[in-house]
Amino acid sequence: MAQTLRDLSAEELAWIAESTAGLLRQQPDATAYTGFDDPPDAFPAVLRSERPC
Amino acid sequence: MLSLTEAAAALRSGAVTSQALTRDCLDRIGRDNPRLNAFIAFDGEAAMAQAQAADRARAGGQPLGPLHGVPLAHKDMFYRSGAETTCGSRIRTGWIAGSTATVLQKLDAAGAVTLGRLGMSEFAVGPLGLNAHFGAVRNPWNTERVSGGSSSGPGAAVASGLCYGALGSDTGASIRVPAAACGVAGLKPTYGLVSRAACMPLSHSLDVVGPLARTVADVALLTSVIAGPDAADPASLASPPGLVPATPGALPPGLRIGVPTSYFTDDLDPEMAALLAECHAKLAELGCTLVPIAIPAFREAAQIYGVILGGEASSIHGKWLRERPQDYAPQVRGRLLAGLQIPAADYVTALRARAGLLRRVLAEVFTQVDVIAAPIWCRLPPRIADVESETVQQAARTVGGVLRATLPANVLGLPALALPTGMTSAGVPAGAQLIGRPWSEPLLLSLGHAYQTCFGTLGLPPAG
Repeated sequence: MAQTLRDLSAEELAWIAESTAGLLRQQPDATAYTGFDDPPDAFPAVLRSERPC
Repeated sequence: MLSLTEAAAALRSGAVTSQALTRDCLDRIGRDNPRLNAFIAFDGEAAMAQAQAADRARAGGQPLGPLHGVPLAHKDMFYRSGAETTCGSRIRTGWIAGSTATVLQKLDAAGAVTLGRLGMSEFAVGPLGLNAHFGAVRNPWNTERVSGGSSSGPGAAVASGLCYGALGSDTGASIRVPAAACGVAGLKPTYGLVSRAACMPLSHSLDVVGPLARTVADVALLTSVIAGPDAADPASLASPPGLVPATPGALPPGLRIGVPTSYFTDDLDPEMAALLAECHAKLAELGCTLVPIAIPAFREAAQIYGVILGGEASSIHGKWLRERPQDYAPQVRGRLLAGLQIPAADYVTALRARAGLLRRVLAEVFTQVDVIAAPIWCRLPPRIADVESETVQQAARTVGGVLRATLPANVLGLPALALPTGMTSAGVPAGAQLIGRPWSEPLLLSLGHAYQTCFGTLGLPPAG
């Protein structure tokens, strides 16, 4: 990574820091939508449950 | 020019030959591609040889597939064994695939002719259709404006009749945004309905493959060919055979159409709002009931999009970001590098939130309405010269604005049909997306087809 970051301009580095912080600020609290026990791979199961017979 | 479904029927009946249709497409490519830049590569001789073989097969009484002899072209991200796939990038220019995408195998088996490989945003990063390596694909209705992306070549080529249909991919916008800006139909299918095996990945949790074509009926035919389970794609979900019929069915009575009162309307340009309202009024004319609905879960879905996309895309590109950073365009490299800073716990949290959000949308939204009719572009598609000269920060804001209306469907895995709705003051089309519950493609296609049967399509743009 260090080699990559060295190649970037100050503008690019500032944007990366800003955009990453922005992404993380937006991150909602998963517990508002899932139970404590819900795993990260539960999503396809919800889709499967909707599948027509 | 015939639509794809009309062309397929005419080929079966013998009213036209594949060689005539293919020659016509090649003539259009020769005339219009220099100003549109829709193709990365095309091979006229190979296409004519395929067309000749298709005509011989018909003359010989061989069984004909549903796309027998129909000329298509695809976003340059679908691998074909022994052929180059650039993914719109410098890094993969000259790269030869070792296997063929399942979706291409299905189109081959259905008898389609392949004209060539279509332009795209670099590695499908970016919804405007810009590309620092191959040049921007231009909007066929107004070549000063963007085509939309990342399936930029499919949007422009299909709209201008350079091919009868095309495959694209959609990770947050990439079928619907170019379809809307170019005035064609496009389907982002339910996550897991269409195989992505041997297709370039951007985000394994969000990527889907789907068709673009000039009419909804054309999109239905293409979807019926490419849909279905595939053991070669771990995300593929089993679906009943024939889930998506080749011809859209009749519109069911009493459909409830959700008219969004939040999120989609928060930053909607008045002109785009007026076009969307016209679309809603036409859906009511078809006998649908309009139901105003707030959709808070869509805003929350949008909030986790960047974490999932960033985490997965930066993982896929990690090796090249370390070894060949100079070979990415700065804006693409910047977006991918931002993903490398995302903590693992936040990525997993986003994935955990996803299932709960979908359950909530099913319980709170799709019990009140059958389909949501939402905007695709919230603002007018910009001029290419304006966005090509943006700073990295300005570009990030522009990209975020373009993705805003389309990315919730990717987080939630929902199908969404892009439907052309009219022309904007910028001289380019606008479109609406019909979003349904998982596996509701037959309903969305019936609704879109009924809309086009009653109110027509935009037709071809004026030749430049």
